Order: sequence, then C-alpha cells, then structure tokens
Amino acid sequence: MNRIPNIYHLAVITFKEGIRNRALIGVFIISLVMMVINVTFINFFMRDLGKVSVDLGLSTVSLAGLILVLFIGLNLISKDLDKKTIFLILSRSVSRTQYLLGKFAGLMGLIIVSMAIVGLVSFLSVLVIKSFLAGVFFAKGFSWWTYFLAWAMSVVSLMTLTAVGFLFCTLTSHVFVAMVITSLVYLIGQSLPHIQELVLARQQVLKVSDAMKVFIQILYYIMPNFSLFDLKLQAAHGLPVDPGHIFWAVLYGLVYTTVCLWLADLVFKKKEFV
Amino acid sequence: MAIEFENLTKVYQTGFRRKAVTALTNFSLAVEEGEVFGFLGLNGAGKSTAIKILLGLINPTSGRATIFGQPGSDPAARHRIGFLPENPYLYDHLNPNELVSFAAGVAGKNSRQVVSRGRELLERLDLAKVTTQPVRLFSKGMTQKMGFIMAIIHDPDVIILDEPMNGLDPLGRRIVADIITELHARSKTVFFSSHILNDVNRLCRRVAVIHRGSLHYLGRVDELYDGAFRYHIRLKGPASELTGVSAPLTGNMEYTELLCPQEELIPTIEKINNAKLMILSIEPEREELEDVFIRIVTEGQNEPNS
Amino acid sequence: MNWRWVILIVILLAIQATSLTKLRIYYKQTEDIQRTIPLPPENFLKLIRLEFSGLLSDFIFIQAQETLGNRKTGEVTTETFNRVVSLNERTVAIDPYFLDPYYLAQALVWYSRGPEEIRRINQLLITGAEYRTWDSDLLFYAGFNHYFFLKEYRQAGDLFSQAAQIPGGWTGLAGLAAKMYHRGRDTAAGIILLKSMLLRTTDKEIRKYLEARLDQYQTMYYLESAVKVYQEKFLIPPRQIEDLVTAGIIPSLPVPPKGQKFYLDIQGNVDIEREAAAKNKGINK
Repeated sequence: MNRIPNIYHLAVITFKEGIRNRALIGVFIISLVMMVINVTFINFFMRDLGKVSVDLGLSTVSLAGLILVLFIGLNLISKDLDKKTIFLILSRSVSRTQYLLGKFAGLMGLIIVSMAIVGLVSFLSVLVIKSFLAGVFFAKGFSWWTYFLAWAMSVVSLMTLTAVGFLFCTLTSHVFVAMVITSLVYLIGQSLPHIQELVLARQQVLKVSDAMKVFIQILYYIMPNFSLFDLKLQAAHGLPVDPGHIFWAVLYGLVYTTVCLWLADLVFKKKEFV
Repeated sequence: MAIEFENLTKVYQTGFRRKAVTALTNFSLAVEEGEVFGFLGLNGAGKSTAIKILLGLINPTSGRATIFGQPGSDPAARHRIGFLPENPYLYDHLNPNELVSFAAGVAGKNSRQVVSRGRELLERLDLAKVTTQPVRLFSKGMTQKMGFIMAIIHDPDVIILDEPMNGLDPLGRRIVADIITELHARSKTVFFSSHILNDVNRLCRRVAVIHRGSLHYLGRVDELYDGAFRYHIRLKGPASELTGVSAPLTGNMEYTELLCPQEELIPTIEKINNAKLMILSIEPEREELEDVFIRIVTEGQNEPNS
Repeated sequence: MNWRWVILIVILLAIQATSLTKLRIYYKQTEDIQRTIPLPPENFLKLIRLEFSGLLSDFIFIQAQETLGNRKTGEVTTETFNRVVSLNERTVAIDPYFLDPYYLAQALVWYSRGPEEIRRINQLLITGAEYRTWDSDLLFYAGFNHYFFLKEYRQAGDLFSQAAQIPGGWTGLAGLAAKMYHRGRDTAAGIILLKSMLLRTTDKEIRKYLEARLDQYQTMYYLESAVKVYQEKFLIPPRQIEDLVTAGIIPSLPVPPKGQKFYLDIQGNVDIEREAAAKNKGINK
C-alpha cells in the first residue's frame, strides 16, 4: 500500500530538513573560501599549477561531502531516534523499511544537491585558473570529463559511507557513537588497501605473522574500500580513466550500499523504540 | 473492537546487567468503536508502554494488541490511526504547511481535500499566521497543537492521544476538547491518556486506570468521579450531640465541621436533623486525581465492570 | 565614556604586540628545531593521506620549498640539500605524477657536492619518468646529469635515447643520444637508435634531420673501424686522421658536412667538429 509515495514523502521532508540546516551553509562558505584560496595557492608552485588547482578543488568537494555525511547526515537519522520524532512517522502506515529507504533517499538528494553546489564552485575556480591564470600549466591530457567523473565518484563514495553510517546509527542509536565508528570505518577503508599492500608485499618490509596476514585479508574484503572511488589524481594529471574501473567501482559501491541498508533494515525491524 | 489489548505483558531488560523491569502485567482492555476513552495513570504506570505496543513501536513480551483486529506492527493496521505522542518533537526546519502535507501524504490522502481541512485546522488552533515559520521557533503549546493537527489531518478512524492537553493554555484546551467532541459526534474512536481528571470527565464516558502495569479500574467516568466527591458540612452546635457519623474535623461548643463521603450524605443529614442541630452549609469537595488513585490502588483492583 | 574604551584597546594592542615580538625568538628557535626533526616515513604518509594524496603532496612540496627558501646563507648546506631531496622523495611517494618536485630536484643538482648526491636525484628523476610516461623532460634531465656531472656517456645516451622515443618530444634528443653513445665509444648503439627512429618517423623535416645524423655517425663508425684496423696493423694508433689514407687502410677520407672536419682527439677517438676548433684540438698533437 502506497509504498513509493511513503518513501517519497519521507525523502522530501528529510531533504528539506537537511538543506535548511545552518551547518550546511557553513560547509558552503568554507568551500567558497577554499576556492578563493585556490587562486592564490597556485602561486606557491612552479610548474604543475593545473594539478595543484584541481587537487584543491576536488579535495574540497570530498572534504565538504565528508562533513556533510558525518555531521549533518547521520544527525538527521539519529535525531529522529533521539528526540522520538520517529514516533510521528512509524505510528502511521509507514513500514520500517520504507522509513529507512525514505531517509536514505532524502539524504542522497541532500548529498547530490550540496555536492553539485560545491562541485560547481570548485569547477568555476579551476576554470578561472585555467582560463586566465595558468592555462599553459595544465596537464596535456586534462579533461573536464575526468574532472566530472572524479566528482561523481566522490558522490558514490559518500553514498557508501552514508549506508555504513545508517547501519551504525541503527545499531547504536547514539549519534556520537555512530559518528565515531563511521569515521573509523572511513579511515580504515581508505588506508586498508595500503596496509594490505605492505603486509602482502613480496619483499617483506614488515614482519607479520601469518594469522595477521589472514586477518588483514579478511578485513580487506569486509571493510569498504573507499580508495576505489578516488579519481582525483587522474583528474589532476589528465591520466586516462578506464571505463572498466568506473563500472566496477560503481557496482561495488551499489552492492556495498545495498548490503549495509539491508543489514540496517534487519536491525531496525527488531528495534524497540522505548 | 477498535482497540484491544489482550493479556499484555512487557518486561524491559535494562542496563548492563540486563535487569528486568516489568512495565505491564497481564493487561487487558477493549475500546469500542466510536467511543471516547480515557486512559489514566501516574507517571511510569505503563500507559505509554501500552500505547507503543499498540502502535507496533515495541514488541510485547506476551499477549497482543490489535487495531480493528489487526496487530499494530502491521503498517496496514496503522493506516486508520492518528497518533499524538507525549511531548511531540517535530522537524526543526520544517513549517506547518510542510508537516501537514507530509502527514497527509503518508496517509495517501487526496491533497486538495486535505489542504482545505489543514487550513481549517490551522485556523482553528491559531496557527494560521505562522504556516511558513519553522517549528523550531514554536512554543511548547504551539508544537503540541501542531502535533495534534498531524494526528487528525488524514481523518483517521482511531485517534490515539498521549497527554493531548500538555502545555496548552485554557483556550487551547477548550479548542482541542471541542474537536474531540466533534470527532466523537462523527463516531470516531478517541483513546487518550491524561493526568487531568477534569478533561477526562468532560470528554469520556468510560475510563481505565492503570497502576504499576496492571488495570485497577475500568468503568464509567462518573462512577470514578462520584467516588471522588466528599461533602464538607458545617453545623451550629457541639459534635458531642452527634453519634454514628464520621469523625469531625474540628469542633467546639459553637460550631462543628464534618467531612462525609457521598453515599453517607443523606443518613448524616438525617442524623443531624434528629439531633436538632442547624446546618450552616454543605459544600461538595473534590478529590485530587492523586487521591482517587490512592483510593483505587489501596482498595485493590476492582473487578472490571462489563 | 568612550575614551576609556579607546585607552583599554590601545593597552591591549600594545600588550599583544610586545608579546608577539617576544615570542618571535621562540618561533625562530622552533623553526630551527623543526628543520632537524626526522621526516615521517613514506609508508606513514601513505597511510594518512586517505583520499587526499594530491593535497598532501602539495603541502609536503611547499615544505621543501620553504626549507630551501629559509636557508641562512646563499649556499646550500649538505643538511639542507638532504632535507629538500628527502621532502621531494616523500612528495613523489604520495603523488608520483607531480612535476614540481622533480623540477626542484633538478634545480638542486647544481648545489650537489658529489656523485652520490647526483645519483640520488637521478634515481628520483628516473622513477618519475616511469610514471610521467608522456614527459621526456625528466629523462632529459637525468641524461644531462649523467653526461655533464658524472661523465657517464653511455648511461646518458641510454636516457636520451629513451627520451627521444617519447612521442612529441624534442627532435634533437635522438642526435644527442647518438652523440653520447659516440662519446661513450659505442657509436653502433647510436646508429641503431637513429635507424629505429627513422623507421617510425614520417615527418619529412625530422626524417631529414635523422638521416643527416645517421649518415654522420655511420661515417664515423667507418672511420673508427679503420682506426682499429690501423692499430692492429701497426700496433700504435694513428697520429692523425689522414694517416688512415696514407697507410692505405681507406682509399680516401669521407666528405664531412659543409664547414666541418673529421679529426682524431687526444685519446685517439674519431670526432667531428667545426674546422677551426678541430685544428686547435687534434692536428697539433
């Protein structure tokens, strides 16, 4: 019974509630300042000015996205549990699955719109630098398409992180704990590929026990591999991006997100709202 | 039956040691369709637990709670419900218009119909001037009224209100009471919990009193209310001339003051008459809700009248 | 009572300015200490970079520039040199495609104090070239360092030869490589490079250039062989290039490009140079 409308209505209020959050304006202002800094930052460098400006532009997008997900996004679901706003929703003909999906959809809308704004600002700053300040210092292979891809993959990464956050929000129903654990998962997910590389290197730099190797290997497959979604260096240096990379990374993100939401749903269905 | 609790028991496991706390013990109650029903109890008596189980927010340890025969954990059963939680917290940055359209939207109601009904309700509850203001700027009473509108906007058949009068000013109470009376006239079922005996008396025919997780009283509200009356009698003359009446409160040679329960009023007056004493005044004295509770609880559980 | 506020603000500002000047001494001290703190290992940096490799590399590179810029005297001490190179190594460990650290390292070569330091920089440049496959500059720098500082002509030839094969690079690189191979007494390697370049080149101008070089080095190879035969026959090297004709090993000297002359240098190697220069170097031996 009206499954899709319920999800839609929930998504709408979640989006509106999020987009009017003052912290979001803070994020926008910070990114705007970063972009102004970008124009002066390139003066500290000699040759690879294009690369530096793209670095700063895309890193700001990622950073703004992280703040958005960890500090605003997770709050939007935790506050529902904390302040019991969820009673208003779950007392209606809304199932718990619909609630989770609606919240997630609203949050994704919020992330996409905010990232579009931050991304546009970052695009403009790099465009100004490329057109008026340092056009000759851009990599030969530089393309706006790769720049866009890097932005889009950032959004996929944030989607995966949001799903992870949802899982921990339902498990702990305590916003601070959920935020800390989600941040930890992000940090581990970003650096685990490097740790795995170190541990399994043919020429052993570190002495690691076999049990540890197995543990790292298992962890590598369980933890989300966020480094897959990072195309910033490719965009900065105009390196070619393999369509296969994009395909598999997006698929990975979607599967990971689905699994996290499914687990969150299982937990959520058992949950008691005392 | 609109609402039915059958042998409901709920045991919470709390803290690290999983200490068991019993919130409801073998609680049974049935509310008929079209009834305005008062649900009374002190803080922590188990009112909210019973309501949350009914809405499927928590699971019972044993027993079941149903809405028109369907368990509340089924979203379809909740389709005919409107609920106002105790101290509702609404979304900070949304305004009444958005909340109303959300509340109507999840019920799948035609929007044009609902827009006019929403506007009318906002108008009646004095929120029409603030329809575009975020609710975080609202006072407690305004939030309460907004929550009330969200509970009834989609014209549900069963309306569950947890402390609906909380934080409302006298005018607000009056309007909410009027709306409840209107809902009753349209044969909607209203189930509400309250602390305030006066509101219950004004609106309900039947009430249930819950104490420490079990039902202590179920019956007509006027019976509960009748029992809550005592008469304060002042007479001229010394108390020593009277026999077989309740112990006097105060007395001297000139005046005597008596407190007598409602059912003993007529015999007492006859005794005073026989003693040829002069009655100066007889005033009804209302018991506070606490007194009613204490009386009901100390009397032991009444057998529920059917 | 506005003036009270003015006085208060002036006093506060004065205190702040004084404390800042006092603190500057400590700041300078910490700067000196900072310069001697060991740099974090590359693996650690790789762990903490998260998805911000680009930005982190930018910041480490700024550190390198600062270290170079804040040196106390005009000369670059071994300490500063090592620190800047270490910072550059870390920068490219994080982002191996970043051009600036290579560029700065190459500028630093001029302050180096020994072959070990130059080899360290060349290592950096060659690793960089593995990533920046489109960029012939890094190989050119490395080749130049081998040639100019280390006098290792064959290695220089190898690097120039690799650089020459990168599409869109400077045409002269192939000639330069051939010249290095010749200097390193491996003229044949240069000839092979030029021939393989010719096979892949369609541009007429470039072909013309490559053909002229090929012709020149083939002639020199011919003369070098003649010198070898002379040496085997007479057990001493020829004194001058004309000896090859008078001894009857070759019928006549090949015709050099206009205004140039083949000659034998002090070590007895065949070389070509402008006539005036050739007279000074070879003939009056």
